[in-house]
Amino acid sequence: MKGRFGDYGGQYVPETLMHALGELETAFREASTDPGYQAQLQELLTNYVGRPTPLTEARRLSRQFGRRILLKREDLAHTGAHKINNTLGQALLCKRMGKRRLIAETGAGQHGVAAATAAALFGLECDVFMGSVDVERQALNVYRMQLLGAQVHPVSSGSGTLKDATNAALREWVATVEDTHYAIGSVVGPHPFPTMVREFQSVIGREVLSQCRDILGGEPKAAIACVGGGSNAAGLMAPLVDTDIRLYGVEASGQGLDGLEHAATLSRGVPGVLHGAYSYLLQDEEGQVREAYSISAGLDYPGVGPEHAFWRDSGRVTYLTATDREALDALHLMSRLEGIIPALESAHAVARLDAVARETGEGDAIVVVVSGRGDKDLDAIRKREGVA
Amino acid sequence: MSRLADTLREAGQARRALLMAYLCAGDPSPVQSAQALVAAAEAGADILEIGWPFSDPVADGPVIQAASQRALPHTGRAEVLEVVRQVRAGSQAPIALLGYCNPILRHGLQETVRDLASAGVDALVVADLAFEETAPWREACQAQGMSVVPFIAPTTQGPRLEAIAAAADSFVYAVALLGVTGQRLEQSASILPVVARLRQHTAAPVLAGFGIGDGEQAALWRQRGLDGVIVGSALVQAMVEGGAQAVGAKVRAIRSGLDNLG
Ligand SMILES: Cc1ncc(COP(=O)(O)O)c(C=O)c1O
Repeated sequence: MKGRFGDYGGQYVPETLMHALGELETAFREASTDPGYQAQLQELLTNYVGRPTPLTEARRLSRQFGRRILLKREDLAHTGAHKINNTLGQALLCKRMGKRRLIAETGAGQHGVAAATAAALFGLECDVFMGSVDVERQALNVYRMQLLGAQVHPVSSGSGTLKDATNAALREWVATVEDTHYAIGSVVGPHPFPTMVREFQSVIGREVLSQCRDILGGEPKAAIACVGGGSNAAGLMAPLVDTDIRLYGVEASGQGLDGLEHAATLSRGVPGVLHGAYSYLLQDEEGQVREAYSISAGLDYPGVGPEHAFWRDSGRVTYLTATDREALDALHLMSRLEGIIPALESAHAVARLDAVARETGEGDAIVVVVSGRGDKDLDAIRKREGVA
Repeated sequence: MSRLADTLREAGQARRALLMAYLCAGDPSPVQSAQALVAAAEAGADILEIGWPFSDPVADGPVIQAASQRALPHTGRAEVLEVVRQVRAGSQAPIALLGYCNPILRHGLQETVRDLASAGVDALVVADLAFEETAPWREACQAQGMSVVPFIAPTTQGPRLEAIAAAADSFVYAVALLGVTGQRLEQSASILPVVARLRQHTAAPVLAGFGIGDGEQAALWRQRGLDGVIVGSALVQAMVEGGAQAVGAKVRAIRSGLDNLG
């Protein structure tokens, strides 16, 4: 079947969207082999995003864990996270399809900012849907999107977070599909999104391989990334799955895996259908989707990309979890030891360096994706920690 | 399904417009929703469409989203089946179950389809099931004598339309606008060319739904050559305002709009 990773993936959407998905698939396929499109994207990644992003030796963190830790610095990409790799690719496709407007959902606001940025660059209209809870905890990003010329629509239905923002964006797309492209922000949604977003993010893994050849003279022992929808992780892993590199994804276990206050979809979920794809899903006995929870808005999602479900079942990738507390501790640790304040999402990956260190040997190299920078989270952290 | 096939055939022979009436199971309670559905049948609905509430109804507008939210705390799989049984006990009208994939898949597709069939469901209408994904669903439903109702939309094109026509084993659900459910003042005509092309490949009746909410609008769709209409949000709204009685009155008004065309 089309767009499947094993049993996972597919196209579970209202009929109205099927034509647009087909059109998008064709545009993406043609663009993939069009040297003009590729050159344009490459030029933007180099001169607008600032790629390749560095692979930084984390000397003090390395000493702490007894491993050679290398940080893949997506926090240094324009707009401060990996999300821009995807939105530039999709904005170019939007133009190619002759559509004049981009819509997007956003959790942390990073994808919304990246979408608004790409829209500004290409002169596209942009509407961003954002859960009302997230509008509050990521207020700075709301203002950034507005400065960039996007309209931000707070969504108060359901839990007022990323899942509900995605519902709202899908509803808007159904109504405006003829002139609007929905730029999904992660490797989720109906085919071709999981494949397409993975391809746009694979620049992360390709650069890691080539930078490791330069720095290490070979491959690292292990690589780790946080998993919300799973795009920075899939971008890291897709070019690495055929190597011997051990791969780890880290989901948010929020207040702990025992209760319901977590977003550990691959660890605690059951396969089901949400937002167009069959994948692991946090749901109850009735098949109703649960509200996820994480301190990190970008990980606060009850679904996960279907390719991760496939990698989980096949055992190629090991999925771990980190709690709010562990992520906060990791954020402090990395800030103090390396002078780099990671996004709360990325801090989840840093938090599980302990587990990856245990499974590797003295001096082995471990690559950690720092998917974004922490500036957007400072208010939330300050509140949480009772700092005035 | 023979109930449904009979209803469709008889309406076709009598040149009578079909009316499918939607209400959400469990809104405001399982018993009240079942009573209102029976009242809808008595008032002239030919097919009863029972909604299975879902946490993330992406095809629905605010009115049906709210109905789903009201029903969810007390309406699970068991209650949906119970509503179907009560409606079946009170009416011989064919029943279509409107749901989203996930709750139906949760305890196994085959098992749930079997339970729905034995409760009295004649057809499945699955809002987020694209035609390309329907094969296992059609297989499970055919084994139980149930139909899977395919959709067409204003954007449906090309060879897909022929495949959809070929799979239609009861009626076709024509989404009458670009957007989610909910009554509209304006009745878009954008689905009509798609219906015309579909008709070249199937004799199955075509019912228009989304945005249609009163007798005048229903009559317009009859004049446009559709075989019938599907009314949801307007009935959910009537249910909120005046319960089963208001639902019955609304159905009668739409029925007379459909019938008084001569
Ligand atoms: C910095 C950062 N990292 C990670 C994520 C999670 O997304 P994904 O799992 O798709 O990489 C987000 C989402 O907003 C983010 O902003």
